[in-house]
Amino acid sequence: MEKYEYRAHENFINYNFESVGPRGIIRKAVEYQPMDWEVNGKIVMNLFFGDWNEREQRIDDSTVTDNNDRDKVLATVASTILEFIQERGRYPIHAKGASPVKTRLYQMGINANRAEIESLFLIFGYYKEEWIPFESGKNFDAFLVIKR
Amino acid sequence: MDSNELKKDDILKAFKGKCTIDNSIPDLRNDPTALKALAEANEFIRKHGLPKELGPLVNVKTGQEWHKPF
Repeated sequence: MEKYEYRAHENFINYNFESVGPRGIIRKAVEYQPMDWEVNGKIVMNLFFGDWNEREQRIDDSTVTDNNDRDKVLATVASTILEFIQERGRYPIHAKGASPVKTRLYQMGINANRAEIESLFLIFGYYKEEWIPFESGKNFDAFLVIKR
Repeated sequence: MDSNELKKDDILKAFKGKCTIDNSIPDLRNDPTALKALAEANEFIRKHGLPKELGPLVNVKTGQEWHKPF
């Protein structure tokens, strides 16, 4: 799976990389945010991801970049999940797009690489008011991945 | 527990901006958008819980077990 090289902060909570495509070079950022919840003593971490807004010095999870590299970007984000877990522990990772369209993009990314992801993680999706194991053909509202 | 594993207090401190920041990496911990996303994610979990296969879901701050409202 093709990926971008990314940089990790020494705390392994923050990551960034550059997307390169028809719209130019766009810096992306990932942060793992500790949530208010824990299961079996493990804090659930929220995956926050988007474009880095240099002018405002903040991440923007609402932009749609369309840099023709969706799969490569999602694969890169997935790599950061592995590094975060490897370095900091086997935390459940929660992911939900800033909009239904973004959540759908996550789903397409999971679908496209499902075999590889499932070999490493248990994947759950929220569907019709219930968390169920991930499956193709359903539109999920959020995702949760747990390292096997 | 793995020695590199984040402890509850450490991670909460880190999130409040008490750890070293490398200039090449954006620090999002005071980013309103990041905090909003976190609040929304917490609200989602508060409403829906997590898969029951994971075991009880506990609030970090209160120690109370979460029960899905009927």
